[in-house]
Amino acid sequence: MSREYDIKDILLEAGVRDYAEIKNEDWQPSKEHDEFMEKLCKKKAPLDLTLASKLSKGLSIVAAVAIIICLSLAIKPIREPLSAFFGSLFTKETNLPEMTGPTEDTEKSVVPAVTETETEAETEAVTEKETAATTTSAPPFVIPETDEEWIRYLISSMAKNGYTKDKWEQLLSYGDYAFEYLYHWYKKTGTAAPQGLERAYISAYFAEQVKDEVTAVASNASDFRKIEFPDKDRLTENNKTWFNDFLDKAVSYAKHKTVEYVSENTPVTKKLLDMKGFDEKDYYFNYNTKDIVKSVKKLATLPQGEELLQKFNTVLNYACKDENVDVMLQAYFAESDNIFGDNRDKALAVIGFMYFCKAQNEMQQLLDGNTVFNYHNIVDTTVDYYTYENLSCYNLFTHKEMAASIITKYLKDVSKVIKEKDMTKQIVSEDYPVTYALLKAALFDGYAAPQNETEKKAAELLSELENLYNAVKFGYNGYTKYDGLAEVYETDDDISKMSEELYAKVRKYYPEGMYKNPSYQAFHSQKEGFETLDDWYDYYSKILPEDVVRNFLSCENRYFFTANGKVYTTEYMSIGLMKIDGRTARVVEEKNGVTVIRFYVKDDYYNRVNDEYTVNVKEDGGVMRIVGGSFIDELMSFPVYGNAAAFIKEAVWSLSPSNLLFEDQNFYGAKEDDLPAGFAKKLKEYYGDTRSYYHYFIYVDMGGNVINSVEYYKNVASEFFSVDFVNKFFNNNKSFIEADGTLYASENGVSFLEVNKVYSVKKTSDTKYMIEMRIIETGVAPGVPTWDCTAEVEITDGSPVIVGGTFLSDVLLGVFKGMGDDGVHYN
Amino acid sequence: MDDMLFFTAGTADMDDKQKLEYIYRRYGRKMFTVAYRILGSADDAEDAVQNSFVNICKNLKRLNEKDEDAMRGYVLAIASNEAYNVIRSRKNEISVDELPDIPEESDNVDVKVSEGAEFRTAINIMRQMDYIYRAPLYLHFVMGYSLPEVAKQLDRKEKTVRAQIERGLQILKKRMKEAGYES
Repeated sequence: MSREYDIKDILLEAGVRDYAEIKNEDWQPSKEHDEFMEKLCKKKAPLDLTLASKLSKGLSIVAAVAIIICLSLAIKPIREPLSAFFGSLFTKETNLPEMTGPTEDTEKSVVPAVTETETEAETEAVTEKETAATTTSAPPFVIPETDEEWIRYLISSMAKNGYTKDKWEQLLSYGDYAFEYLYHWYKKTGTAAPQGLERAYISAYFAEQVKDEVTAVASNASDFRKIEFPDKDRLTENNKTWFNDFLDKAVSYAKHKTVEYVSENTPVTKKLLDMKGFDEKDYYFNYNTKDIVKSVKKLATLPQGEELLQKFNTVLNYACKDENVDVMLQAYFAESDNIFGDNRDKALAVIGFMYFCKAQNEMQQLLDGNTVFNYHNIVDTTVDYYTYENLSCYNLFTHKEMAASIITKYLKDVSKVIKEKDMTKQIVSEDYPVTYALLKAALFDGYAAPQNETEKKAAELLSELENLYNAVKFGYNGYTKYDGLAEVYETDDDISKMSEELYAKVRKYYPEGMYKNPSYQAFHSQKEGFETLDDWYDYYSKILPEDVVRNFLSCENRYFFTANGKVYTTEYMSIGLMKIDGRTARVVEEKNGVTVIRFYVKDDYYNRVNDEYTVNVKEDGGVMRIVGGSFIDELMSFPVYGNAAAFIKEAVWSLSPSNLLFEDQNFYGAKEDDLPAGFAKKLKEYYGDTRSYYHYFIYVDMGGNVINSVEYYKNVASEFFSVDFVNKFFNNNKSFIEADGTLYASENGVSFLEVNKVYSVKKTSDTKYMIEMRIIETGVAPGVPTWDCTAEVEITDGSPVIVGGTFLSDVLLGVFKGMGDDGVHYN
Repeated sequence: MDDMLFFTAGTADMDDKQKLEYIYRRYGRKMFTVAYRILGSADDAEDAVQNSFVNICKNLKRLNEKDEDAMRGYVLAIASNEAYNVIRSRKNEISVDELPDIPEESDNVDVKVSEGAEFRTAINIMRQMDYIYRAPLYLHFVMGYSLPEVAKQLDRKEKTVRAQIERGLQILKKRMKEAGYES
């Protein structure tokens, strides 16, 4: 099949053959021709002058064209039409007259273009000029009529004939009109664009406009630091790009300055930037500002993306400053205020997210776990902490409803809490400033009334109670630890400064090296004036029932001693303190001269065991005493332990020592073949299943020593449960696997139980107590199975033992069902 | 030597300055020859070459120095056109009134020839064709310029260019038919 050729093939091949057959004539180029072509191609000097300045490719063609043009002016036959063209270039579109002046000036005005930005314009101008060359001739002089014509005339005239004061002043007299007109003329392309020295004069015009302000800020603006201004009386072609260069510098300058700075310090430059289309959003914006509303406004103009999230984070830091939260929320509630303009919805969404970030801690403190969890549910069902990283998951601007719902919901929830807990304005504003800001912005007025006189007195009494409790339970001096009024010995250096008497006592009770793994231990002197323990006892017996003080002190007397005529306490393990909030003391009941005061506590150690207690107070001769209440019953009167909550917590732990098992070093993983042989055998025997990989625990004691027998835990549990129960629970319990001299637990055989809350402790007989409590499995999120149950405690031989209650019959039965010989150990 | 030197340069990426130099070194003398053949005057031929380079400067961006065939055809077309422009400037513009009516679009070209004798015949006809027609044909069909672009390049009216292209094609077809080929 023969190939087909089309018209293109024919033309190409004809050209190829033409070329091949053309024999060069015996041509000796003329001097003019050589000059033309040499300057164009061979003599690199004129071209290199521009190329050496790192200009782009496009520049060379402009230069080349310009050179051709220049030379052509002197070479027949090009000279004539090109001259005609350039003569008409200016007047072609404007009907302005050919300016007067020598012909040489025309040539001067078409010296090669030297800026990249002008390439297109110049090229086009050349194109246009050639077109015009054959069709246009110079029109006669016409007096300019319009402002525009006059401005152009003045510039062009000076470009041809040089600067004159009269013309310059006339130019300036056009004011803003000339300013704007010259800007736009300078930016024109094609035949309408100013040429050569015209550009230089326009540059000089703008240089004069900006010189003062630019000089003034130069020391604070690196882009303007070394700027040179053209002298209008001594302009050269080199000055013609000055204005473009200046605008580039101005843009760079503005990118590093705020719009306010530029407006205030360089208003003329700002005007030029406006005309250039440099948008307000392009200016530097300082997000590190306390003006949160301004920042939010700015954020609302950014598109969703990485930049927004980064800036959001910056603004968040400032928004989270208390004083800014106020402003932020005021803006949020300013419904009628057009403060955010068209971006209001976006801004509200941003504020909503910010508020959530800021309020999280207070939400945790004020709301119960499930309610707080719901907030995270609003934002994300799996994210516990709403961090910057997580923000990237969201489009801030499409979550207005989410943001609004956070604020609305929190307002509703926290209002309810304030009402339920009779929280005063003082408490909320002092302890929860972020929440208070929200309530204030929303004009909330549901705070509890300030405390009455009885409540204030009760608050003072509660402060004494707190000091006693913390001194006895934790060896802590709440009065003076941080104000320097008490002696506190914490470090070895401190201890080396003890008096001989004190040191002898300390070492008597706490010999050096007493603990294999020393825990934090410090010694506090107690209240001034307490020289003996009897003094202490006497003092507190005046404000509390004597038997309560006696029992409480006797439970914990290992923690205090006397020396140097003072009572000292041993701060033990720094595990936390009871914080009674006297400001929350409210009268809830008055009967037969006894007033029931309810108050709230923060108990770091027994966190959420309970946070609401009562004391019953009685006034006698103007002196208020505590005569009872749930705080006394539950935390100070329980036999041996004093604190029923502490007893029940330790009792539950003894069955499920989660605090030990959760230690990383006790948790292992291995393939079946790599399991300890004895453990592997029992695993298979107990659970029957096989899998590729097993996780297991090894039980250790407080010192980290491996426990080799379940007898260890049987002994521990025997402190809290009857022997019969202990045997039933531990014998053959699959949660405890003895093998190879080690006590193991399989991952599918352990359950970690913990007392989450103690509701009440009631004395049901001379020897029995009933504790109401909530049990949870630890290490899992809220919402998992929990049990509200009871533990019946009997005092036998002076010691409390759990003998019944639904904790044994329901909880342990359910959790450990099937784990023992007969599946039911505990009834 | 110069040719070799610049031919080597031509194989590399060039900036516009290099490209211009390359074209002149490589094709300048041939361009003069083409122009001289048309004008019969060395002075006029030089003017045509100079004008050609003014024109080439404006179109450097579109010239691919690596496509030798297209480039030399182009510069020769430009040179011949500029030569005719010189004539035209003396004799006024060539009238198109006598040309036949032409369709609006000249792109509906149905010129297909087979390899061998038919192709060679077409090439010879084209080589003999006046550059008045050949230049616009070349710029349009080989270089891919639109009719307005061709008109601008050749400094002719668009209507004229369209007519010349149409006329050139008619000439080719007529001569092919005369040579015994029906396209």
